[in-house]
Amino acid sequence: MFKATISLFRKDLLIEFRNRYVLGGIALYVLSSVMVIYFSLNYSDGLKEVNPVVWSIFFWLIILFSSINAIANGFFREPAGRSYYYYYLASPQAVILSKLLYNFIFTVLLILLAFSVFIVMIGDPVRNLPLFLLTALLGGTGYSFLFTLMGAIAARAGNNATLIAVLGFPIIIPILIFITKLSAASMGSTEFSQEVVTNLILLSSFNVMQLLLAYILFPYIWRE
Amino acid sequence: MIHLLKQQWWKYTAVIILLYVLIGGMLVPLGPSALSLYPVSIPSDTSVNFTITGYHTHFEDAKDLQVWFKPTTGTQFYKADSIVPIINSTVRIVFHMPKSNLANKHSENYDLVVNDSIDGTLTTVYAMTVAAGTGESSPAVTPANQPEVNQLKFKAFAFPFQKILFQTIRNTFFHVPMWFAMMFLLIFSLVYSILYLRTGKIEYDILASQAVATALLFGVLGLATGMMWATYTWGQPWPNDPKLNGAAIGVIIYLAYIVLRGSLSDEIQKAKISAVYNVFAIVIFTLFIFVIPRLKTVDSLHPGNGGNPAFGKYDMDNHLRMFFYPAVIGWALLGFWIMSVRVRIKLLQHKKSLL
Repeated sequence: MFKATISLFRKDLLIEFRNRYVLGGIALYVLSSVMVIYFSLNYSDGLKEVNPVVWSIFFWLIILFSSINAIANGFFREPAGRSYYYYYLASPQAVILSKLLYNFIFTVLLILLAFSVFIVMIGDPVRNLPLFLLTALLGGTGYSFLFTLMGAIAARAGNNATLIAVLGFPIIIPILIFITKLSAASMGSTEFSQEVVTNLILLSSFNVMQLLLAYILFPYIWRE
Repeated sequence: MIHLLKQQWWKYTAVIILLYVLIGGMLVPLGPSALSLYPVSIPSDTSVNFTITGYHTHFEDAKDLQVWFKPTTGTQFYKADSIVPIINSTVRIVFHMPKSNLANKHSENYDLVVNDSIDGTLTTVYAMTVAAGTGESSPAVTPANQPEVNQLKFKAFAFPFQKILFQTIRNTFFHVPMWFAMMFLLIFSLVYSILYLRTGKIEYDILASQAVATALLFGVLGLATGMMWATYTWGQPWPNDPKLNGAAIGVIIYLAYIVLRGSLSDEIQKAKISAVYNVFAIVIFTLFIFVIPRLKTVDSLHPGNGGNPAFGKYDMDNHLRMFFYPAVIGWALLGFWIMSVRVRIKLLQHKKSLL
């Protein structure tokens, strides 16, 4: 199963690099969203007083919308018939694990890209970089796991892109609460306080729970 | 299960219990309480005329009315100088407090204690303040000790009087059971979603989906009754309360379930995918109801949170419980009744589609 997961993951990577315009499109999506925020802050004279909470809310909302787009693309670019082909080649667990791994790496890269653009254009209020990177890692895991499962469901319902948002947004709120709190904390002080540790543990357990649910439930979505 | 859903006896039970709750819960009066005192702030060494307004009290009927003032931080009781009941809900008293009894304080807060043989002992904390005057003190009065005020109980059958709830305490029989009924239906739906995924029987999917639809009805009713209650007790229909927001998001999660079912056309696929989403949804919903409100960012205004006393500790007395527990059972049974009707319609439609 491990070998199957790795080769499916490589296949996704290959498709991505052969269609580089999709990759470029997502990068441009992030860039232009940051531009929109930059100009709306700049021309309303809000840029002088961007406080950490506003910064992190903007940041994670951009990640939310760009990752939902990226993951939806990953599901919708494959025609429905091809899933039958994979069904003969690999177990559903291998398929979902490769998708989760791929989307996780993609989302984390997206976060790093958006972070560097944010630093350049809007400012760098982060004082505790290790905590911020840890938050980015866990938040990226949460986003990618949730949208992978919701994308798999929506792909079955006739590739309806609205459906991912409808299904995913109410469920993303706990993750959003944890990560906006954590990234605001990484801008407040350089310490790892008790509350931060609690939030990190809660966020990681939420991710583990999502992983388990995806692993158990995906075979039911997969089989027709 | 479908056999049980078609039976009659538990539906009659639901009707009887709900009639008992509706009639009893609406007709039982509230217990007495000393509502207000005027004036609320007096100088020392002056005889002041006070008016005490009561709610459902028997000041005139009870012949042994006594009125006391007790320092909020102390244990002494000072008797009123004269007590004249006007009507059952109003009594005029005269009271003075010598400066020497304030023990060199600038001012002191006093609780009002009204005591008669019908209403029992009624207490209003922080009823009034005595400010020390500048003149000479009149002779100190000797306080009475605790035993002189007998802690009487109101004996008639009544619901407890709560200062901010007043008559809305009866909403306990509507607002709270709605959430219980919703949770019962959602757990029922989870069980049948899992059973569907294990067996693939379409009846199980119909049971699960109709349970969610009925649970949504109770969720919306729970929000509506809660908003009505919040308007009167917290001052606005939608305060920033973690439990309220969690419940609203829970309702949205299950509305997404309905949308998901609507967007799938194939029967088997619809059943399978919505069952998967349902398992996922209940986990998130539990997280919202039980974990997020306990993260100490914003304290909930609900009883039992953020230093508020829990229901059952102070607010819930045995008279309320006599209606509250039946209300929970009655509304839950009504929920399952509504669900059973929906299930039977869906089963007939399903049979017709097979013909």
